Amino acid sequence: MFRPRPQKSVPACDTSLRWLWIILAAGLVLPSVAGCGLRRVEVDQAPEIDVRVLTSPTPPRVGPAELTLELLDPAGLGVDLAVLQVRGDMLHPGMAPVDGIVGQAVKGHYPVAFEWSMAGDWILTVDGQLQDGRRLLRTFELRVEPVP
Amino acid sequence: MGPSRAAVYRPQPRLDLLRTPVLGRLLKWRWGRLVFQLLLLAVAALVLYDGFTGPELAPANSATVLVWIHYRGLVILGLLLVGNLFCSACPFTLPRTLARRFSLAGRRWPRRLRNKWVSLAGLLVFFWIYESLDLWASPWLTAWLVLAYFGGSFLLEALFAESPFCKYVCPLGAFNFVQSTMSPLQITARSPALCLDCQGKECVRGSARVPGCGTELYVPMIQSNMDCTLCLDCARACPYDNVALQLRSPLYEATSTRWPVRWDLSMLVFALTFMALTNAFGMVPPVYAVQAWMAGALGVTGPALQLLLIQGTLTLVLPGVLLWGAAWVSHRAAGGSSVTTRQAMAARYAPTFIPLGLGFWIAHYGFHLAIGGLTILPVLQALLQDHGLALLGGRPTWGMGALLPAEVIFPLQVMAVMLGFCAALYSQARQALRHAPPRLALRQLLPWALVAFLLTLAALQLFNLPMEMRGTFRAT
Repeated sequence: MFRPRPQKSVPACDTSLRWLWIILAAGLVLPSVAGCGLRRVEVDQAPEIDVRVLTSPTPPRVGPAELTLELLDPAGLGVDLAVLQVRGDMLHPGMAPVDGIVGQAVKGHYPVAFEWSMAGDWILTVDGQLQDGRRLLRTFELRVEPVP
Repeated sequence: MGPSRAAVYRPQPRLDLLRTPVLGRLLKWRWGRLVFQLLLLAVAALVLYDGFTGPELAPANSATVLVWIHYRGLVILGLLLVGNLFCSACPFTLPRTLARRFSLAGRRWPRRLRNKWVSLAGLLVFFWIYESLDLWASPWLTAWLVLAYFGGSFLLEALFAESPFCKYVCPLGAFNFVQSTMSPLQITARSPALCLDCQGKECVRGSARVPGCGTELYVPMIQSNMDCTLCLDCARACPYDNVALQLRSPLYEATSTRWPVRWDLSMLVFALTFMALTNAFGMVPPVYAVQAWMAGALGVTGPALQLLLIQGTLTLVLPGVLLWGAAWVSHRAAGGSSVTTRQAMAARYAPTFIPLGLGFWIAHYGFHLAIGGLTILPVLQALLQDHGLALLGGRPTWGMGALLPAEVIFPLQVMAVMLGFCAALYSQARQALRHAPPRLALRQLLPWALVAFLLTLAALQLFNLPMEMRGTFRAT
């Protein structure tokens, strides 16, 4: 029976190999190091605004849904005239997000027409601009049940 | 003693990919593998960069989308259609040559660990970590996983003289090795007679310019794709141009008589079939009922411990018991023959579960790729936009997602499962009839066919349930 011997090191003296290691090191280290601080950091500029999400049906089920976003200031008064966008992402990668259609606010209550496309965990992102120009950015975690 | 001419399998001389005009030259080119490795290295660098610095939301980060949607789906399709493509272009092995320069006294991998038990344990740990840490939901942890792969590969290469990481440790490698036994291509010697006279054995020992086989496979004795990374170093190193990459029947190994009689190997391929179902089981509602039962009846409330118990039971204990039990029944059906053993029965029938498992993996990972294959485009658009680059169009088109219409995905899943089941039954029948007359053959294969049937039923039931894109939150 033929038995293989341990292999000897491959001579790595030629220039091509040296370049390989340079590329390898650069490919792995530089992106991680240089990347810090390059990416846009999204910040909520109105932390005092209390944002709540009410779902109908409750608990959320796969299919069409009516969401209500409730925006309250520190005094408990409704915040109107904000321009809001609502986006739902599944926690697992690989599903297209769903955009909600936000209606006119009444006393801080914004109706949102939405559709849960699959059961599972969702991240609901509320992104918008308040009347004074500040950005409002909140995320909510919701679990959507399958159709019984 | 060299390989005997009669005993060594050689695929029929159909198409030899290494002899095709352009592709063959590219594959055998000294830097041919490096080109593909650098491509995947670039992808790995993107995963690291975006994973460490990009959005925390998994569907919006290329690290999680590339690794958990595209990598898994494309790997399984590549294994089915071509071969072990990922291992052949694996970027984790790039530091190998560098690591070998630090090789400490050329130590060999410990004899006790030269088996597939380590791989099996690695797969179990990998899937447990995947579930309990929700790796799929964290770009940051996904990036760390990739970094750990680079580190682990480098460390083992530096400590040992051979390539133990690929052969004995790497869970991805173990997965690919097993599934590649169903691949339509295999490395073989064009003329085994020539190998008998070869003094240098460069295909395994390497030459001055090209390393030999990292997993120490000797080309004229290769009868399986198991442990073959398809790196083609053997073809580059052979001074006689005697290495071929030939077409063969994908069911050759499942129906052959040359599978090694080893419990570790049989258990690995058998358990991987169960892992396919367990991995999908984590995405359907009954898993919560099981966890609730464990909390109520057993008092096990920690999700990590619950998952360890579920996975340990479904991917280690259950397959272990069924493998041994089916081998025992089969051996009894053969009259407790002294010619064969329970271990030999397991080695005969365990490989017939590979097509079944492959069908399950395709149904699961293919689902993710089919339903979310295009989500990478808006993710990359957003990544470029964050850096002021308006390539790939302007605003990210977040509505992109499915590669296939939703209504065709489930029928395709059922087809994958059923084709796997039919291939498994066919392989079992071939194995049984080769060793016994029809009546006895039927009795021998019955326990194996029953296990395959029950697994297929479970798979159909599982894929028919409403799949959840993971339930880790409770209702808020």
